[in-house]
Amino acid sequence: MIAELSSPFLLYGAVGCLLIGMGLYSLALHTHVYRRILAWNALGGGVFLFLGAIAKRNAYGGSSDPLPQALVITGIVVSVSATALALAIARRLQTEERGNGA
Amino acid sequence: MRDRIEIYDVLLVVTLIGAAWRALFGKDAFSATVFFIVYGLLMAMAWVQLDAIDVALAEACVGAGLTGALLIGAVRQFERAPGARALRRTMGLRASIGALSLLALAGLTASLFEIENRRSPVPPLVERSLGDSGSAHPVTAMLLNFRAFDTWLEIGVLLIASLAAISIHRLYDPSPIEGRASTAPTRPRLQIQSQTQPWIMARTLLPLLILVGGAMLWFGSHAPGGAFQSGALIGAAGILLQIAGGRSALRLSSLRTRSLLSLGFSSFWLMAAGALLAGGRILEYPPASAGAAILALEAAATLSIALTLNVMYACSRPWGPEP
Amino acid sequence: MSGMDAVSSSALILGGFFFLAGTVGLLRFRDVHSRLHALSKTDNLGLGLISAGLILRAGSFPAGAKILIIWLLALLASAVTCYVIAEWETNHERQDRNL
Repeated sequence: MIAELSSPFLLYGAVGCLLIGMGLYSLALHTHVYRRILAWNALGGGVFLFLGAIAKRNAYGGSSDPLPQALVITGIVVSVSATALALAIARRLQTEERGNGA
Repeated sequence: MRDRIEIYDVLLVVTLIGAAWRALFGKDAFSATVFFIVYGLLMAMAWVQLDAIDVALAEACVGAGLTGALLIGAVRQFERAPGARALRRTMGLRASIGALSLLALAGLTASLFEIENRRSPVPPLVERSLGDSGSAHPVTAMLLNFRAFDTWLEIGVLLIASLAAISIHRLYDPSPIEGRASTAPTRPRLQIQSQTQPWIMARTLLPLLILVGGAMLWFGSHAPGGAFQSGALIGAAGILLQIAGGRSALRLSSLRTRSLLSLGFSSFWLMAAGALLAGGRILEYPPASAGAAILALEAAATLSIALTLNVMYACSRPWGPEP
Repeated sequence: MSGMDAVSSSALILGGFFFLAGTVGLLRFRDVHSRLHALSKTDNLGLGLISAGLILRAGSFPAGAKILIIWLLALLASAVTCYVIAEWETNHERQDRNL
């Protein structure tokens, strides 16, 4: 059964794909690492929305499919820890390369 | 259960894409960061529309709130590279990167139409086992019981990231080698500047945050909530205190910090070892006390997560005396 | 439409109008202080009206109390951040970060 045009699955899935495309473009376009960290987060957000759209589609009873929800919660937490570590490493790299203080 | 999109969905989606556009392609990095926070909060609203309340809470607390705090703290410390390559900005290269991204985007969107609505086998299984799982809420049961192994490793990832951030932060010493001990703060103190606005906000919000965080931990057993959201709220309380105090009072390498950081991971480990020794499989809770086991694991995880978020924020501050 | 619904809907629409006015001020004013002035007043009042409209529609007392607490917290956050932004703008110079 293919999705009909007014289902939330299609809208939010398309938004997720759009975010993935924008994130990829920004990731490839920008050279500074801070911009790339933002792009990476947007890319991850798009993937999560895609998963969430599929979860909504497999809904039963009153709520959506809990398995993709658990995956997305895990993904959000891992994504924030990766961002924190990436910022720390990027700052340290900048200091080492240019020799200026914080 | 909403099965059709409404005007609200369309407006939300348009604003979300707009905020993401400004976040990714805005000229000024600071305004891009602010738009990123706006994008995170709008994502939380989108999750509510997708009937995923736990994810909405996690995205609002952790995705928008904590990531925003980290990014705002970090954006002022980055500078433009002196020899920034202008190569990337030529129109031809931009066009080809754009075309490739559009191709990927089109392919993914086309796949949306191909995904058949198969009846996923998971929801009936969850419904059948929910009574024995120890939690009345499907997402909590999924996170802490059916897929507890994933949660265990996720807390492991948090632990690794916090330890790595501490190492990078601690070893960073801008003073020359001979005077290494000169600028090191021997015992960081919490200096609350009491008439400042951040402290006024912190002293109102701190009790509220701890109360709501604790309530969220309890709610997780039968309603949206759970360890991550609760840990994020309590972590936010600590971060507010850091913002108001002007200097981080965390002793990052102390035994107390390290043991609290690893409390979540090790309690999962103990539970798994206990289950194995009692003759079952890894992380197989006894059905009678599954609820208590889940609550104990969630409490340990909450403390760990709160401290991890605090440590990550502390490591994103500049080292040494405040500029 | 009952009386309660009419009052609630008009409060919601009026709150939306205040937000619109604040956003026009945000886009049109040239100075950070003027923008803060426009935003802080209209956003607080707009949020108060929207909260009032929603409280009238709330099903139970706890839900209404929660909406009231949300409004008060938003007031606190708005006041503090408005002050912090204004203080930073007065005392520090703007840096463009074109990364």
